[in-house]
Amino acid sequence: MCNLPFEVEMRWNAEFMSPSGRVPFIKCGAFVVSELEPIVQFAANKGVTLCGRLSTEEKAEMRAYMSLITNVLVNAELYISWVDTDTFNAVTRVRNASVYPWPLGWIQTRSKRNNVIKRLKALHWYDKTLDQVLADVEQCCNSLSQRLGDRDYFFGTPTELDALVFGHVFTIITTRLPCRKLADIVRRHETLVALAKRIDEQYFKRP
Amino acid sequence: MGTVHAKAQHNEGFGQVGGLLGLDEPLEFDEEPISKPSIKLNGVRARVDRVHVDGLNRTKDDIIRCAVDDLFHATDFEDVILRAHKVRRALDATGCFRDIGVYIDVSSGPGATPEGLEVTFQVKELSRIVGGINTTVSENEGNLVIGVKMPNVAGRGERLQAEYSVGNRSTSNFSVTAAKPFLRSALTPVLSASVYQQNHEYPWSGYRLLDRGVLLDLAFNTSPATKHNLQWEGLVRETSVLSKTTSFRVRESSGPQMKSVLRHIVTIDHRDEPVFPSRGSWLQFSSAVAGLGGGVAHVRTELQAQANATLPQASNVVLQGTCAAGVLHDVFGSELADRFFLGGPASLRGFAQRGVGPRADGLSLGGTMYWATGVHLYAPLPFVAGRGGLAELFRSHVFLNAGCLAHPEEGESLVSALSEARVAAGCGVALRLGRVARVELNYCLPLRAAPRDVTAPGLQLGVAAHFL
Repeated sequence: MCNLPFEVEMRWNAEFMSPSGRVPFIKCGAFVVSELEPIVQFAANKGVTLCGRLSTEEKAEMRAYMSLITNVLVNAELYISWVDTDTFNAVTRVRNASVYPWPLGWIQTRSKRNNVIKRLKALHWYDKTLDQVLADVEQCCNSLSQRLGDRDYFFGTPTELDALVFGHVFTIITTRLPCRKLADIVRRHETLVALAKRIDEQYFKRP
Repeated sequence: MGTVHAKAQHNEGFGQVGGLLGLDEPLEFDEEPISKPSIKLNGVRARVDRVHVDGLNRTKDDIIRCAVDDLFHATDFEDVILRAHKVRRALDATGCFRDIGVYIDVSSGPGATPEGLEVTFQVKELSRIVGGINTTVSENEGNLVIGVKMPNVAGRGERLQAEYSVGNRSTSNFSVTAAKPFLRSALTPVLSASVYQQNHEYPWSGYRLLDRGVLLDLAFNTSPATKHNLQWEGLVRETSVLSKTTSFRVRESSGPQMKSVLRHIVTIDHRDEPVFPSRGSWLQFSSAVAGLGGGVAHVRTELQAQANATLPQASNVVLQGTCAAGVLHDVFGSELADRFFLGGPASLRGFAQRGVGPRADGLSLGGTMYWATGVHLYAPLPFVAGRGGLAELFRSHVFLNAGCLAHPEEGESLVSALSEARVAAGCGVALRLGRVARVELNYCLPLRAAPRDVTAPGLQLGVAAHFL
């Protein structure tokens, strides 16, 4: 969206190379910056920003929506991929272990699952049932689509909030999971899906 | 108490040996001159009628029988003493006993032959469980080790050992080892299995390792000086970087990796003493193949050798030559931790720890091949008169060492990569720590270094079990 040149490289150990232990991260010269917000901050320090013309209130609002996504959608995704038994067995376990030789894959998957469960427990998400989780997602989507209304982007022009929403929505609707409910809920919010498609066509059009 | 009887045998020879002969701890038997040979011992015919082993409790009879069997083949009295000493060593080597005393007496009672002898070994078994706190040194790190050992668990020299150690670089390790010697077979193999967790921090390269693994080891001797180790090691190695600013080249190698290694180590040791030898040579050749399962495949060979000679002009000046070389051939997945590193007080003196070879952002990246060599001249401390006492723990030395570590890229010639020799000279004092390690304090002068090397001119202190 900023028209910055970049190159995507796949690495089996990307998660461990990242300074914070999470993806994505960028390497720019000697700097290694991980996760969306620090990356946006890093770009802003270099004078490249998408929300420069937003007012302070709008910026605060954008932050609020972004944290809503990290608090709800991220945890819901973690819940479904690591706690929901069907999804875990059919998708997560296979995918997570695929980069490691046996039996390291099994060990790594187990320890990662324990970490995710520990995190969800601390946030009181682990005690929830799948329906409660889906209800939370529903609410989150509702507020997002209400904010979006019938505009093209949340704040008229593309911002990092649009990027974040695109990342999550696009992944949820294009990934085949045994648990279809999550995708169904998101698909019901047509404006969000339309936003994701718009961004996909505009920025990720493959020749 | 176990008693072993010899078969009755009727010999014509006649010899009288009276009295009781006690051998108390004859550790260096071959150097001990028999002081008053009033009787020529090898002229006295003798035969062992009985062997008593006193103090056996849970040690099984069959291994004792096997160990003392040798004694019954003795034909004269000198032979009896020599063989008794050998048996004593063999019993000591089982690791089941604490004090072993040997008493030889003429045999009496029914079945005693005229020239017959009775040999009594008085042993004290080690207690069932032994605990200890000691310190160890490895690659410039000191560790406090808390250990629990259960010797001779099942009566045939089996050992169970658990260790927990905390290092001065705040790393913690543990290992649990079970070992089973096969005392009755030829080559006296020892099979051991261990489970371990090891933490290592390498600030010179900016990474930290957490190894968790299983090690199976079969050790055997093909000659008294030649020892072989056949090992299989399966481990999960977690590499992580030390700080946020660590070079990306180091960062790239982080993450968990599984490695399965088959290793053979042969050690030939003809030295008279491991820490400050005065003669003899030592050689260790280790070759490892990784890649039977796991995500790392390579072939790694390393050779280390040492030769010592006392100068003919001065009886207490020792000339020592050492050399080491290694080659790593990567097939896939080999990372920083598999590579060779050179430099530091215990390897190439005069350079900082891991100070030689390829670097990125001040961190050592290691190389796939190296060579190193050194010449030392050891002498006792100057200005200290007489032998013995505390001065025996010290040696002064002058040295010159050279080496090269390279990571040849595709197309680069090996000869040119390995011909960039780094040279350093110096002198210093070495102090022995027990029979395994030593401390060196040297004044070093790097004579030749590559532009990116980190030299360490001046005083350098090193603690290690093995020095170049």
